[in-house]
Amino acid sequence: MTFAKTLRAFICALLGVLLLGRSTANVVYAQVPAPDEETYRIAKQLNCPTCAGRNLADCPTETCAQWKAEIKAQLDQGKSAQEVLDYFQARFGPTVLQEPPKSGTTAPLWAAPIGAAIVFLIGAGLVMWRTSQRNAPAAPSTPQSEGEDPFVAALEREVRQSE
Amino acid sequence: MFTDLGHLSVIFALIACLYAAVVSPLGAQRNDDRLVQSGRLAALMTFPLVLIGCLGLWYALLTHDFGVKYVADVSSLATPIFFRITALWGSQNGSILFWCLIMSAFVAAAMVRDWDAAGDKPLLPYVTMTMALVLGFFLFLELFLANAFLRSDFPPQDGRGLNPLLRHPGMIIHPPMLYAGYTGLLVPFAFCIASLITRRSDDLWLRSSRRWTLVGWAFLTAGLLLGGRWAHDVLGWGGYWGWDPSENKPLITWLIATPFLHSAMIQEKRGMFKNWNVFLMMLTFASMFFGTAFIRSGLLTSVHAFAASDIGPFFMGAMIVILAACAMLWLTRLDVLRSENKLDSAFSREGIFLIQNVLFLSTSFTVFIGTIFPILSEAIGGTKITVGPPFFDQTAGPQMAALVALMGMAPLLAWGKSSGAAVSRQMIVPAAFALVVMIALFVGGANQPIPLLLFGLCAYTLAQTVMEYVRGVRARMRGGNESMPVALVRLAQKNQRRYGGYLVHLGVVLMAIGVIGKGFYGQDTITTPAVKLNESFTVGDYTFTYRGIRPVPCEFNDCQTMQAMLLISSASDGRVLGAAFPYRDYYPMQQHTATIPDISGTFNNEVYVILAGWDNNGATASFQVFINPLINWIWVGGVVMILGFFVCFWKVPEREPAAAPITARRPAPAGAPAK
Repeated sequence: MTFAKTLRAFICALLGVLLLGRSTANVVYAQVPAPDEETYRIAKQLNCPTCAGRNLADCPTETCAQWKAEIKAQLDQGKSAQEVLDYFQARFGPTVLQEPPKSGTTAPLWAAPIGAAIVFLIGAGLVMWRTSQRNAPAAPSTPQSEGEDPFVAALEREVRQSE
Repeated sequence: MFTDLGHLSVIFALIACLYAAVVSPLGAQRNDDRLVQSGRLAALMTFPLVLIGCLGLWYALLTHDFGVKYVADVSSLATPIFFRITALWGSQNGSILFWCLIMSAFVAAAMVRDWDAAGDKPLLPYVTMTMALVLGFFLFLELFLANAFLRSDFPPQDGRGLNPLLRHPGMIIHPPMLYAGYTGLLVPFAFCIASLITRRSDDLWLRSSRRWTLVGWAFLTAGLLLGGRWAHDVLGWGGYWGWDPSENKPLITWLIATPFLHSAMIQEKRGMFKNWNVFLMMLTFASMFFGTAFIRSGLLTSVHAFAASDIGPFFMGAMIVILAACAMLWLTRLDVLRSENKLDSAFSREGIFLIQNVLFLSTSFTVFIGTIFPILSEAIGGTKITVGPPFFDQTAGPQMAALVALMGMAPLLAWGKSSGAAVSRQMIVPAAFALVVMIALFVGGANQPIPLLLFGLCAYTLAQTVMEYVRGVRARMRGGNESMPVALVRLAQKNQRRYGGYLVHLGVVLMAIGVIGKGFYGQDTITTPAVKLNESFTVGDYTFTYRGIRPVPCEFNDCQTMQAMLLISSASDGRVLGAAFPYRDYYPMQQHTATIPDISGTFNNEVYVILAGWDNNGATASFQVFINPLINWIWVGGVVMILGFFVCFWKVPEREPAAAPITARRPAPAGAPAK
């Protein structure tokens, strides 16, 4: 028990020392050079290898800083933005791009949503057609509005069904 | 000691689940109500048992019992008491336990409801069985694959502390909300399964679980919103939504649960699309399960996914078994689920609901394919291809815009059949309003065609939704001799679902306005070159003057914080508007840097500043600045959506005499209008 207390006091003291010495230590190590505007625009279009799910521009890690430096170096050599992007794509594959290319191996990705929307809508059309053809039991096909406001039900009939 | 008691209690909870899952259907088969009631009580008991388990873990967290591995992983001596409580769901193992707690609370709530009064007693045994099985699965997971109660042989002196990213109120409330959303949707799923097993063809399961579905949906919505708010405040990427897998996962479920809420109405009103509702319910459940499997197993990397673990294969295996069982059950009941009615016309409420349903599903599928594409591409082509926000913006965005448009059309169509002339007559006023708004915006300088059209669409849908209230209120004022406020309140009371639903629609439109504003008119830039001390730079209407950088005390003493100071003034007249203090936290223990933005500006024009870096002790610094127009409407819209939920959900005592004569709606006595 006393040992634990002594230990806790020791840790607190240690923390205190660390905190006091912090302000200077902090400034020295934590300098982060920032990219310039054009590097930033290009970095926005790339994925960062170390920050999952974030683009290169938004990622604060060391590896990403190197990548940004690489972009800057290439820009300084006079390369265009597209050339820099091409360079990264050639080196790391399409996975490095935020927006996968609409051609090549990633074309199916772009086709899938459009295909799905079309197939689903056609499916819905077919279902509607089939349901309207079916011989339904002799149930009344007027809308049942039980439990509804009688005023609103009247409104419904007045507004939507009469010519 | 107390912690081990908690462990034991969770083991008992699993046993109770298994017992309930076996005894309830047995009781139903033998027609023995005692067995059914016994199963019901066992399922009910899981809640106190899991609660004791959580209390045990909380006890360990609060007493700094670093002998428990989980406690050492998510807390330290420096972690304040509030975050030690929330650390229960701060990492994988504990969060599964917490998930079980919330799920068992829903199970218990479903068990204590008055089944006799509700008239759905025949469903009880199978509802109990389904819920007990699902809860049992997660308890099994907790106990055998992700046990939070395990002790280490060599307890460390101090723990590692809570993940810095999780120290935000949004992150504290957001996971419980999402869990409640998911597990809330488990209730209608259980009713659906019970209905299938008992071969019922009516809509009893929908009606019985309607309020539960709403609760689950509302929690899911709130969870998504809070997650967005958290990303906005903490992640420092300038936005509210990054299409990250752990955001997409609840969104996928939301995009299936929302059409279900609509299509359930078709079955209740017209006895149609029974198979479709069963399908949507199963899909909702599958998406929840699937998403959980992917995020939990670490297959998908995300900003705050849990560490990779070995529960993935188990999860996937279980999922395949469950889905196969569901599909089998459904296929053997197809004959029972025949439609009672004929579709009179595609130009009807049910027709447009069906279109809305499939659009929701294709949007959901779009998000799904983009989210799992990294895994797909790795499995097929060998390389993992990341899919960033541009893909989702370009593919899901237009579909969502189409959904907003449908929202402005659907209320106009009647059940059964609608007349084209009547419908187009109702479109005149909102369309005129939209035109006026678009002209005003164009004159005001908004000349990009796409956002202009989208704003026009929002204006149309907004006006159409408001018109729905106006029409309803007018009908009541005329027919019921009521003053306007009374008519409005009564209207909402008597048609809760309908007018609550419209309020949700209004919220969605407001949110869409925020999304369009941020998406098309948002500006972001980074200062180039780095600004010197007392130097200024201008972004949009704002001028920023750099006033220096300084270390400040870190909130919980486990990080190093550097804070920059900027003066914000108006770019046009130099008036001082305020100051910004963006900062960076560095956590040596976790080797993690957090960029915390400063958020200021006006309601319609948010200014979001990030400290991007600095040199020479702050002689120069650079900043990332986002101007986010209209972004706050997203949060306003979110609140309106939740309000709409309350209008739908609130149980109003019946006061007004029910059937007022409809014929009495014409004679409007003098003085009745405009009271």
